[in-house]
Amino acid sequence: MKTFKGGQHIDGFKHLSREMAIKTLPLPSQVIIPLSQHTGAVCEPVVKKGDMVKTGTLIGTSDKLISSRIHASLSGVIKDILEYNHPILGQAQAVIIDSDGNDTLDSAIVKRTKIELLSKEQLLEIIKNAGIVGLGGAAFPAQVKLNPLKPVDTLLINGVECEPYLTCDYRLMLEHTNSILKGIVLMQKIIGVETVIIGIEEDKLEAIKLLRNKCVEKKYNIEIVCLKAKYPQGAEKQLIKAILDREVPSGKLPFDVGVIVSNVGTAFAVFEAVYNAKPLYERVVTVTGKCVKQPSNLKVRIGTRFKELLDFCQGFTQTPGKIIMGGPMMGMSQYTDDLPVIKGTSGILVLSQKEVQEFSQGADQSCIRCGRCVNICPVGMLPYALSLCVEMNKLDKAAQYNPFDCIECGACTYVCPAKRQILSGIRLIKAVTR
Amino acid sequence: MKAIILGVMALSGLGLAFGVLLAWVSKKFHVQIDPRVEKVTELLPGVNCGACGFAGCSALAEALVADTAQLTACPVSGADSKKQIAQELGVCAVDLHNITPLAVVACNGGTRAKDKFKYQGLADCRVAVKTMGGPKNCKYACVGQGTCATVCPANAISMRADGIPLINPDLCVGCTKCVAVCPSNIIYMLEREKKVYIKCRSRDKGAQVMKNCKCGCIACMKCVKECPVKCISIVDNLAVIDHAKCINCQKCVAVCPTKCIAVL
Repeated sequence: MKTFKGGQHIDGFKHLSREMAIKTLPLPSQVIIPLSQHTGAVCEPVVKKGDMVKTGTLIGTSDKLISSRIHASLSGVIKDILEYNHPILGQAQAVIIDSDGNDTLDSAIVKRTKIELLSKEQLLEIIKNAGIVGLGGAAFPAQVKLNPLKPVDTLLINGVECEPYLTCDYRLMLEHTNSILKGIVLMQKIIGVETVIIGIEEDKLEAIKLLRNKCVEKKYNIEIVCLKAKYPQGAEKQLIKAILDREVPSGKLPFDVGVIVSNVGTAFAVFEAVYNAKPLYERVVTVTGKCVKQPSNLKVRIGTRFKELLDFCQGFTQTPGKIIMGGPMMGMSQYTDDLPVIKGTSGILVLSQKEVQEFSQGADQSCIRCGRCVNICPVGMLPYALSLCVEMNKLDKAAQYNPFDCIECGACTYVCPAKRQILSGIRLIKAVTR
Repeated sequence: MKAIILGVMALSGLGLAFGVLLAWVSKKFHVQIDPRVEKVTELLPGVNCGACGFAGCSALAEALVADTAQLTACPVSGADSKKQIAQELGVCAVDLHNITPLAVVACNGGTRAKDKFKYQGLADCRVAVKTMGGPKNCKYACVGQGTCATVCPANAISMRADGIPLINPDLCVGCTKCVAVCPSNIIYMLEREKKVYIKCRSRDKGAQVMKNCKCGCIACMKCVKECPVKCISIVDNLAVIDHAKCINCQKCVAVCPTKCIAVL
């Protein structure tokens, strides 16, 4: 079975939510839509306080190249535009919309016909207007990614979902198989490549079978590759290495080796945008963790408060220790549940106090040079050396260990028997030496 | 017997020849050495730490005598030896310690500043402030992870129990490393004779400051009104002292309701 060097299988806890079909969350009465949900320039609001908006109306845009448009996820009145809690930035400008309860769709949202007549440029324009970003987590604007600066020969679709706990991509592959495949075919047309490969880990056999059957049935020229279950296989450079055995050089991007990697969620969003003219105003979020009474996969509007999702899952079984946006490895710890779901929110994970304690107790002891971090590092760095540079306060010496190659997967911190906060240190080095 | 006489004569001859040669060489290639270099080298600490940027103490001594280096270059030697070196060099020694500016901390919060969340990450202020906008409610506050204390080369900074760095004025050498490293920009340099400074950097409105810590500047204007030389003004909800005008009367310190004006 194909895989990459380094990494390790991490107990996924995916059984908590993997059998839960995607449910649609009831419309919230208010949404908070941050104007910065993507990699790149922050959007400027195009609406003002008191304006009426419909579901799918454009509310934020930017004329910068790397940016993504933002749309209203409810119909109603703009209550205010102010600084609000943001799951990644802490605080950011956000548009607050009070729902009118009707969920009236914007007049632009009508089903398209004659999709096959659309040209590459038209499709890219549709994707740009729909504000689609990579839904794997980094939220990179899709119209930029699908229009690479160099010719590419392969489109890789990332159905790996190696992050523990998360199951939203898995459910999406099971329940919206046709839409995803149609979305992939559209992306294939935009990029103009022959080869399309979907990479899925071995623990999602049903998804692999289903996608293979559909591809045969619909005669799509799409290959589905089964990968060994290992973290961090979903990182794009590791996925390229695993499937194509091509190595993206240090400091380069996937298109430098002729590959574009896109998430299955993004493929679904592309399908919705092109076939249904629907901007990206909702996404599937996994709400999970031992603390959650009813772990679920929910289709929610962007801007819904975390609290409403957690309430819908019947609250907590015990006092929560930590609320994390995303998975346990790469997610961000949150200090409140009064936070909006953004485009990059793939999951909400609630850990119990006991689980948190297991990790924080006796943290940051001396490095014992066991080399586990070196073995697991998927990019072949020396994490312990960087960590020691931070400990010895010699950040200027860290440059020789190539800190910028780090993909911040957190595997080194996970395996460290001395519980050193290696990744935090590498992030610090990156921030200081940039 | 003959062999012994021969050996003695040969060696004496060689000795004489080399002696003459050496005498000639020492005259020919004589280097004038300033006798002060030796004395200054003796007065310097002699640990050859290289902190001055020269190869060692004697290299610094040569540079000092040649007037290409400043006496301040040596961070190790004390005021007394510096005075002696100055005498030797015929320059005027000023007690540097009283003229280098001193780093002061412009935050009064610490444990009194309310936490937004409990920070459990790497003990480094630069990481802490990047985490969800910092662990304190007040975005101008000291996050108390003590990075300034780690970088201080003079060991002048220690973390107080209430989470605010304490800078020992007797040890501070005015290197500004802590100023550069503090991600909240709350450490700044103050001339030593300017005794009074504001212990807050918050531009939040008074009501917000009262919610956040109760001990920051609430822009109440009391100090502005009290100041006899009108050197305090309120800029962006924060009192600012114009140190050029300040006469150190310390009347503002007495009236500040939140005790955020401090004396060195």
